[in-house]
Amino acid sequence: MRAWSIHIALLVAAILFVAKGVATHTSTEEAWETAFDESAAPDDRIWAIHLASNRATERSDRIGRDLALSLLGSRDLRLREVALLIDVCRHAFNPLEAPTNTSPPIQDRYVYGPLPRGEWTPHRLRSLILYRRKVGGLPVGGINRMTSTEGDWILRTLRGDDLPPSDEIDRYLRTYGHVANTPR
Amino acid sequence: MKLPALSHSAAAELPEVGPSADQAAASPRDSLSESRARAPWKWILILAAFGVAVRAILLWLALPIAIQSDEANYLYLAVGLEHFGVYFDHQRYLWPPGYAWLMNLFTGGGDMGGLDRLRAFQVICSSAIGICTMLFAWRLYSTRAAIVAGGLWAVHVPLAAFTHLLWNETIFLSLFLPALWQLLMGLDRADEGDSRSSDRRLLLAGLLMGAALYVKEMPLLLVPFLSLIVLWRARHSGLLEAMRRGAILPLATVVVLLPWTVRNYEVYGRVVWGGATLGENAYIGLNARYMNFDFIPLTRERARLNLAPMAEMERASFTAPPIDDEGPGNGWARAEEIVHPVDRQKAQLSRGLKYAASHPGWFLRTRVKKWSDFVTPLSFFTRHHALGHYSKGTTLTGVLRKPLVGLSMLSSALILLLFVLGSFLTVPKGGGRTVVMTVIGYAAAASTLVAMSRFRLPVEPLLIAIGAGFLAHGPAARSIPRWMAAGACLVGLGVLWWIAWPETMAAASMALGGQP
Repeated sequence: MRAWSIHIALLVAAILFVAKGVATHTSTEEAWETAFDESAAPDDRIWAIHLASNRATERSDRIGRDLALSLLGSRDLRLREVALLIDVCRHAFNPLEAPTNTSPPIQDRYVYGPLPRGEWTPHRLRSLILYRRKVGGLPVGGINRMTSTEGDWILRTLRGDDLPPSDEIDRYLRTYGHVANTPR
Repeated sequence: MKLPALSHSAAAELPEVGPSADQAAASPRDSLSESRARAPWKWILILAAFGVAVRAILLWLALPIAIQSDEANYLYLAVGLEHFGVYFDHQRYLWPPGYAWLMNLFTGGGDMGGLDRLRAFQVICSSAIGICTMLFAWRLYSTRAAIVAGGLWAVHVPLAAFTHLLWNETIFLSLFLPALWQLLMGLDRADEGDSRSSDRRLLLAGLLMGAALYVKEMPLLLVPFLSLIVLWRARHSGLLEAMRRGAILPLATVVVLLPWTVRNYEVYGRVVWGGATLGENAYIGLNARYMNFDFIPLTRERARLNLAPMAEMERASFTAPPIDDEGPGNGWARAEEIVHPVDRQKAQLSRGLKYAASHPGWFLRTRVKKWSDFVTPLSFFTRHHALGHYSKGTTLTGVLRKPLVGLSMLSSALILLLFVLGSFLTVPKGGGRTVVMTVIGYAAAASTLVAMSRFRLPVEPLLIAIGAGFLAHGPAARSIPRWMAAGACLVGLGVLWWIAWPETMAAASMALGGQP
């Protein structure tokens, strides 16, 4: 029996991990409900959106259009940014007449909409980077990878530090040259 | 450190055909059994420290360095973890979370300087790679071979340079090689009859392997092969005992991976053990268009410099699409109509296999090219220089550029040559050789899907360990078939180098020439 003690311990650990997974499981119905629940706590909602969008085996307009609009209209800036991430963008709603390689129009409108008072805010800059620097190509809104400068900016926004002057950001984005329809 | 099993290995681990008695008096094999008494820790630590110092200097020379390609993708994931508390996939693939998690640990709270601290951390972690390289050489051969291996590892620029790049190879190897070492020690302890110690070593090997799989999923399918080795070596102890021992490694690996796998099942409703990348790799490797990421990024740069496109240099016999599939838009498309990121992998793999099955001639000739790409003496150090990624006007891109790029390519080629010679003519039979060759064979087999110099990196320490034996002791085998096999393999290596020679030289000349 002693010779099998390692196996037994490992099996017990495996059972515990699986049991924890079962105990904390969220059903797909619950995930959908929380994802659309505007009164839910942001963290709960983000996780529920993560589950609902990734479990779906068909592209869902409810996520790609309704949820995207709901998130972008949220007061919580972090929730707005969730609409620009891969989870929601892979369900992006595109009008039937749109070319196949078209960026998600709802997200495009938000990211390239006018800036508040014409100035970059941490949220708007983060939105642009999160939206445009994802892998997956134009159908999910991605073009090119994040540069070190953009990495520095996005980390600054998380730290709460001041951003460079908006003119400088515009100049960089124009020079980098891969951000179509820069705001302003 | 305990002795490996002399009773078993002294006889079994010598080459099949060893030196004659008079030659043996001066042979490295004499010192082999003596050196088994204790690993040469003084030498190992000195050389490990030297190698770390080389890497630290290289890091210091390389800074500041901008993030590139996959490095940016890791940072994106790290930001996702920090800001949303969620680990995302990349639409086309799901990477294991370990490296992004580590990056978030260093940049968490929003500090870009954390990336440089992560680079420094990798420099320190690389000591584990150096130590394991030397331990393998010592275990396979002798103290002298360990010292040679340590020297080769310390100045091997491709491995050294990866410590300041934010790809996951350094962290992965820092876990993967100790896992292999513990596995080998587990086999040795079992041969000595010390079952409890063997079990502990195998357990540790499994735990480390599981941790390595959080960083890179490459060895996922290697684990069953390794546990079969354990089982086979224990066969004389009876079937039950062999199965008991053989089960420890995969069981421990699975337990470490389970939290991540359970999480994936919760998120995707699918069982994903490490990552989900096979379909995207099939898109790259089993498709009409030839793709090698050692060369693809150079295309734009060559256009900017008015140089001939890389595609024009390829030997078309090994890269051209099937005749019935020529022209723009050839091959098959990603299964982007499938929204589920895990299901898409399966669909793409199926498309790739179907494409290969319907073009067997194309499949075979392009696999030769994959192996050619696997053994090309390039590295990301050379690629970074060719692309001008290192800061201009520094010592690294100035006076040190040519010597270091040259050393990088020469040491890659030398290590491959030494490996071929060592594996046929010097390395002794036994558990050590079985484990090392299984890992190298697995990496070579995996490279028939997607290949580039970076995919060779995980086995380079093992190539060094095998090759160091030849450099330290020369050929031990005297049988003609072994020499003929070694010769054939060297010719094969030469042919593979010849196939990729035009692109390799184009990349090398860009790296050596520097950026205008």
